[in-house]
Amino acid sequence: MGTIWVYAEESGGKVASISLELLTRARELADTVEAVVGTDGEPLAAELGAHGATTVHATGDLGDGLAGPAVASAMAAAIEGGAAPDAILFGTTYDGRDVAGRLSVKLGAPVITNVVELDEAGGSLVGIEPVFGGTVNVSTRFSTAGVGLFLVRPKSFAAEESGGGPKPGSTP
Amino acid sequence: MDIVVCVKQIPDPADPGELDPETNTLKRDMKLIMDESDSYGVEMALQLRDAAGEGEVTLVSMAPNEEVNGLRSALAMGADKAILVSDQALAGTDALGTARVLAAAIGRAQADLILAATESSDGYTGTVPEQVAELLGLPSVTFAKEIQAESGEVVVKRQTEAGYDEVRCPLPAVVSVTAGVVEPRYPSFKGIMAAKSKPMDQVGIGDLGISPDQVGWAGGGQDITDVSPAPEREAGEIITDEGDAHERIIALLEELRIV
Repeated sequence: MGTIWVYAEESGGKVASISLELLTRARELADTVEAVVGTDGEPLAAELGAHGATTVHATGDLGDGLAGPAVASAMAAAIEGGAAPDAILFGTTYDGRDVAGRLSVKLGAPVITNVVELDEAGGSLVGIEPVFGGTVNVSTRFSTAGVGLFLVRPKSFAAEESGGGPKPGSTP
Repeated sequence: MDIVVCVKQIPDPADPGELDPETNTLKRDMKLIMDESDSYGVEMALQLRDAAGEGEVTLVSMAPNEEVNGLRSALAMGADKAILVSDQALAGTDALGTARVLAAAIGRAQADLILAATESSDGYTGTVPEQVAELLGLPSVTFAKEIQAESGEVVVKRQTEAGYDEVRCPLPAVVSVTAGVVEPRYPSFKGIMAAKSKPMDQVGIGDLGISPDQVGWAGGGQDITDVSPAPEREAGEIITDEGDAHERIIALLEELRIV
């Protein structure tokens, strides 16, 4: 798999643990992992880099605005401008759901939700979702071309640093 | 104040759910009831309408099988009228397709404010309110635990990981409400009787300008590749306290990523 973007959230001045979990899994699945943040990228870049992000796309400070419309617009504009992530991972959080919902409409792309495991099969990502109180697992993938949007539940993966040291690169 | 409330009619959560073996989508061909999550939005709408002293509460729902049972429950609580989008082609529609249908139906109603639950009890994607807002080109506030209407705007306490943010949002807007935003009323006998004669506008997707290939499972752009039983839960571990039980329990919680 080529490139996965992770919507990385900030919590108390650090990268939220859900975002570190997603970066950790993303770097096992993709050649390139990039983070998208809805705030200033600089203070978070080292931690994002240490968990596998090679590029940090940052919207800059959103002031008092909610993340949903702003981050979704920035992502859609980047994709329209030629960026081509194979998939974007969002945490099932208050802001993660907002951004994924807005972006879904902008791209005309569905979202696979409530994912607790991600696997690659036949070159495409498959999201595994538990149903009926966790007694049955349903695996779903996208049948159409374009970026695949996944909403992943917190604590689905363990967050680990890549061991390669920070390698941040910031694009404004 | 004119308010639209999105109401989902779902299989009774007390009954065990089942997947359609052909499509692997949830079977919904039984009698449906109003999703309890939506009763909070209905109650909130009634309170805002009554506080404003004018306006109507319109329910919007979609179902493949002309189901109105859940809508009647919300009308019995006090909503003024309902729009039901019913079409066989809607069976298996995903969240984005649902949002397209709801947004088109909401376009037929007057709305200063559109309320929805944060997520349904049977699909729980939690993306539909934000998708509806984007389709309608409206601002939105999700996860509201309190709503107050002021002139031309709403002031919402929006739940966050740390507590809540107070968000001001100009109207018209979409707001999704959490359980607990208000305490839903029980329908009175008078309300139940009155609900039978309240206006129910039933439309098909063609009336909304939506083609069948945009909805249903085929319109969702997803394939289910596998459905399998989840691994059995393993038997628990009994920790006998030999002075180090607390350490072993903490180690176990860390292993499970709970702490």
